[in-house]
Amino acid sequence: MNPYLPILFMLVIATAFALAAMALALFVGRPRPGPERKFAPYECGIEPVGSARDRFPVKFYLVAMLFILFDIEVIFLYPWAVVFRQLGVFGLIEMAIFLGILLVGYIYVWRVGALEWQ
Amino acid sequence: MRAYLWLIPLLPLLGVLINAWFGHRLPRRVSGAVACLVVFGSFVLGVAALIRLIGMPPGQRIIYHKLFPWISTGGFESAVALMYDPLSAVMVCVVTGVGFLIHVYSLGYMAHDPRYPRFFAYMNLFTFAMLMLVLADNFLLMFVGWEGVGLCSYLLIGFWFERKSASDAGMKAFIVNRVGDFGFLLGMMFIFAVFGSLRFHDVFKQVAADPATLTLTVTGICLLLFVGATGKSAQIPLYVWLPDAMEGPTPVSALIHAATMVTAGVYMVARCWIMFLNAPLALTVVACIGALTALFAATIALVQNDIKRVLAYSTISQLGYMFMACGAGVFAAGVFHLMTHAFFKALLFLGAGSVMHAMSDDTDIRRMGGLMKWLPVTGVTFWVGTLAISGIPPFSGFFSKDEIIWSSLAGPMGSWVFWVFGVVTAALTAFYMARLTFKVFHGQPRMSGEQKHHLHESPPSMAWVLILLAVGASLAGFLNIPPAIAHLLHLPERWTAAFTNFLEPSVGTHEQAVYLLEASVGGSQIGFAKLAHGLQHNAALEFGLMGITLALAAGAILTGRWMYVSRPGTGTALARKLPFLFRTLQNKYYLDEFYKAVIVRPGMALGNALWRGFDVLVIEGIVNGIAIATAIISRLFRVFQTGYVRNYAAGILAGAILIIWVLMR
Amino acid sequence: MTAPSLQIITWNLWVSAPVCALAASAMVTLIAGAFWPAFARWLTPCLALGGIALTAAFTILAGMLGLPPAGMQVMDSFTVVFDLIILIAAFITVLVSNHYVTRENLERGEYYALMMLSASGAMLMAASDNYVMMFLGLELLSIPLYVLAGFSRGRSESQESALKYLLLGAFASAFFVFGAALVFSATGSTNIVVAGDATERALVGTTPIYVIGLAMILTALAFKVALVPFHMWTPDVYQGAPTSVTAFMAVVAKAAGFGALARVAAAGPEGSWTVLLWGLSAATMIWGNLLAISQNNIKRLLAYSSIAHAGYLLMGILAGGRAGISAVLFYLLAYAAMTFGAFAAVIILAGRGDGAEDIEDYRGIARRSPLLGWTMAIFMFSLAGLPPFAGFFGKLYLFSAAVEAGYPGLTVLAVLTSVMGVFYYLRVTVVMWMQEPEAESGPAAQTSAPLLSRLVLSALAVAVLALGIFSSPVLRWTNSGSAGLERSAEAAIQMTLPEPTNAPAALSGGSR
Repeated sequence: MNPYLPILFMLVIATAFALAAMALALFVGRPRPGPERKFAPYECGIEPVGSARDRFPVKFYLVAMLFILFDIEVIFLYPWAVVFRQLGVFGLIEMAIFLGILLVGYIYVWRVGALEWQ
Repeated sequence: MRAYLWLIPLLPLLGVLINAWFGHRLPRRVSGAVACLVVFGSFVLGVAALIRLIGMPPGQRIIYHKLFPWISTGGFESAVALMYDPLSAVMVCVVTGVGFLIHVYSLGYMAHDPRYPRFFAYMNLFTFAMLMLVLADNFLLMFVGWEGVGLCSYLLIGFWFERKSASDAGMKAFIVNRVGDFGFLLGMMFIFAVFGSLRFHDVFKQVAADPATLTLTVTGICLLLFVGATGKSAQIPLYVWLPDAMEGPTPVSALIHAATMVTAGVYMVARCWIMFLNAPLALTVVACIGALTALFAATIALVQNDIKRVLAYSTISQLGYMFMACGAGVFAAGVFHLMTHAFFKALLFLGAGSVMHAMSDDTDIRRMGGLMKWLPVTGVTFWVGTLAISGIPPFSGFFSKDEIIWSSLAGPMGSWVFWVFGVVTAALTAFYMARLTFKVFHGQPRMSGEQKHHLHESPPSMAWVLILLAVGASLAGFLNIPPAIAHLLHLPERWTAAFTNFLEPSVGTHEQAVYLLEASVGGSQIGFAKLAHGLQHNAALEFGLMGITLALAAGAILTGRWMYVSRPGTGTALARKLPFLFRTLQNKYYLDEFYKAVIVRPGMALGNALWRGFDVLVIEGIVNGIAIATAIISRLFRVFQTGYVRNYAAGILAGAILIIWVLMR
Repeated sequence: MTAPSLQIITWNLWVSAPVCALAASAMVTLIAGAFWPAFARWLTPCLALGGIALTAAFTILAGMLGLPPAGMQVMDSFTVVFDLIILIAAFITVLVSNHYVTRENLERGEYYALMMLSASGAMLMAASDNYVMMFLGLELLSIPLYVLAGFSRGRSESQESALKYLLLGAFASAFFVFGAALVFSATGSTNIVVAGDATERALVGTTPIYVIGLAMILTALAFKVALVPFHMWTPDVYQGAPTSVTAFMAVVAKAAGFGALARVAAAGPEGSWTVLLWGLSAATMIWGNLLAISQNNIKRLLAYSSIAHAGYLLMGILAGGRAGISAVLFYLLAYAAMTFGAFAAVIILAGRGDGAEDIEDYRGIARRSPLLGWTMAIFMFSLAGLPPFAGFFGKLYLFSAAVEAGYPGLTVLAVLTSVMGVFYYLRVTVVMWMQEPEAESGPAAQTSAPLLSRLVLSALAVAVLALGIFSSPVLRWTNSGSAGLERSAEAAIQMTLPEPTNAPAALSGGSR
């Protein structure tokens, strides 16, 4: 039982913190702000100009997703570089395969025209 | 011998392939002839094998032929293997012999049907499956045949599927049979679990070697197997499909629903005689169900007005007789009646078909009468069938039915109760058959003018079949002359109970039966078996009881003549006097309605409710925004309207909690 | 960390060779489709078929080498049998898909590549004796399936199907990871057998954590194979997804889940574990069959039918042992043949745009096309479990394994529910054979199909019949698979015994 006691504490504290924050807001916060304020995108700061729900090209999403994919590739290289010496040739081959697979993905993306803005 | 045993089932299969693939390209004549010839070929081979069998010494009359190993892995072994012993021989000869005659009859009967080759393909397929059923040397292969005949029966009942009633009847037969089959399947699994084999030989050897300890297990297995038999052989409570099955073409009714397939249950019980004798409780259940069904169906047959339905209920009743004989421990009597019944019931059905042919497919006996004048051959042969089924000597039914009634008293498990059921049913049988025959063939013609104009005797191919079957129905009984009569007439020894003696290696002797029964219940508790043993040789009693049965049957026929010919209208008057009884019988004791209300409808309702509750309300109702009819339910479900995927996820979560709870308990 | 010896690396490469081969073929297919889109119509399916055949060759070869466990994956005879079943299924999928993909304009190189990747995930799942690897397999199986479910982009049902599958699939996967983490924290191992063995021998005093972890893993697998109450996504997703993808899902994803379950099942705690599997199996077959009765859409009907079959399959897992697992493998093969057959027929019948998917649309179709009528009747009879078709023998083996393992009650229930099943399977046949086609408006069922589709349909019908009549050699083959599973479990325990020997000697214990 002992080793799990901290987890229990953490659970209790987390719950208590969440509840406390909500309670605090209830007691300390000013009740009922005006409805027009409440429904504004930002309750403070500059008044919005126009709707935030603009349509913008789906290509942004595509680029964003591709960025995340290849971003992870780069991030994965860091820990590998740190332990490169210990892993030796084995590690080098492994990383080559990993990069190779991503290269295939890159070629594919390039070839089907996902990188072109038109 | 072995070399051609496998040809017996193969020939009909060949016929199926020819008719299924080339049937529509062949001339009708050829396609029909092929179908008849293959069955005839099987018949010839069956008889040849039977002669070979008789030539062997009685103790060794069995031929095994293993075709190929089917399943052989680890603990599970099963082969496609055939077995030809006296019981199989009788069944093969009946199936192919009567089957051949009915095939020939169909040539004429189905002559104008557009799906002629398909009909014969189905008929041959049925013959193949039925032969596999009776030739199998293990339960699994038998089950395959068992399902095969069920499938063919379904296809043939729904053969005229343009009529909704026909396709519904096919469906009903199939589903009701599946209920029975599940019993068979479970019984088979338990056999395998207990005995480690599905071969008849292995299983029965183990049972016979150790009857005392196995009784309880075997009783369970036998009851499960008997559930299967009640489905296939239309016994209470699963008989409801057979009357509806009359929607099929009449030759089908004759072949499948009278002569062969429906007797598969009797065959199976007789085949497993060692197991059933080791389970007196199961045997008692068999006898009770048989006796009840015999009486029950006979009463319903009294008031039916459809010529085929009368015969259908009569079939159910006669099958009940066969089970009663088996239940009394005299399996040979059941099988003997099976054989004679195949002759005279096929004859009666084909006669009915001939009448329908003449009457432009009208089946209502209230619109018939005096047909003897127009259909002399049909009329005379029908009379032979009627006298046979009523048990009037010297027709075959007399011998077989008398043996059953006597066995129900004198058999190892016999009792006076069964005897009373048997005799009353015999009287009722004679009466309803007399009613049917007199109403159809005698008295005043009641048909419309147009029908009268068309009346004609059937073509020769059909008439000859009727004559041949009538000869069979008249003479088949002499195969098994009871010892009492044989002694009286000083007949030679080999004429006495020849059929029973022939069957004994397959279904056991009286002494074996008594031995097994006593071993099952442990010693001498079963005193009545000894009593019955004493009764066996009481010729005076046998003659006395035979006289009672005969007198009742003859009296019933005469009453029938009086009620429906001399004083037509008596029946109607009687019906008016006893309206409740009459209506109950006419509606078959309301059993169909009962099943519908108790089983079919709740099942459908449950399925529908679950479907409505889940699919319509949760998924379609909420997702597609279809207005939900009942406000309360809609309000109830609106709580979850925040998103259905979340509901599914909640289901997964609940399930996970359930799993954890079960595992942590 | 010392670098592993070259010999071990070679062995390990062989162990993972089949999965790698399939994944590599998938990449080749992908690139080929991207570079020569003009030839994609015939080039990609051919490459896919070639890749699958190559993988099968690798699998057989690797199986013959008798490789020791590789630590994360095992190439025992169970893996070999299972991989081949998956590969056969993938092969049929490609053949079945061809007509559909062409008709619905889904021809893109990705289609076949994704399917192959998903199949490699399924293979990985069954080959892994380690929860981490199994999770990788699960994801590799699922992610391409999410994409495939939404592959006909124009149809909103397809998108809906994909989104539902993605959300719920991710939810279920989370259970798996968390469960694996709990198992590791409780036993210090992610090896299935070792972790189970550690708890059994009470080497660690934290069984509850292990059990909770296992329960979560079971939840995720139960989701994948659609056991009640984790089945609710099935009808929606099956209905919306492109039909060829549905067939793939119904067979391969389910098979993968059962492959993993077969490996995990032995690790369950005594007593309550069997109660749990008993209950899940019973609930699944009752619920699946009951709901199937009232379906009018053929794909929904097949979805509920696939749920019901999952219940039967779980019986085999519950029975366990050689007979039980062997019966599961045989049933998977039979199920693959008849399910693919049914879906292949639906693909043809539904016509362009999947218009005719209601059973009522198929009235009297058997008279217009005897081929469709007969083959569909065979598939339906087989699914219903009538002899002499494959489905009957599959059920027979499963049920007798369950009876022998001491679950007669569950067997009775299974037989009863399969009687219920006859009703709705038969209804399809009755509609096709025994009802007049209606002349009213509404989507008409199609009967014309290219030669390849007709050939595949006939071949599947023959296979269903042949699996029934000549089930013996197939069953012997699946028996070897279940024997391999047992041996691997023993070998895994051997490896954890104290006395660390040098690797090759210890590893060779699992080879022969």
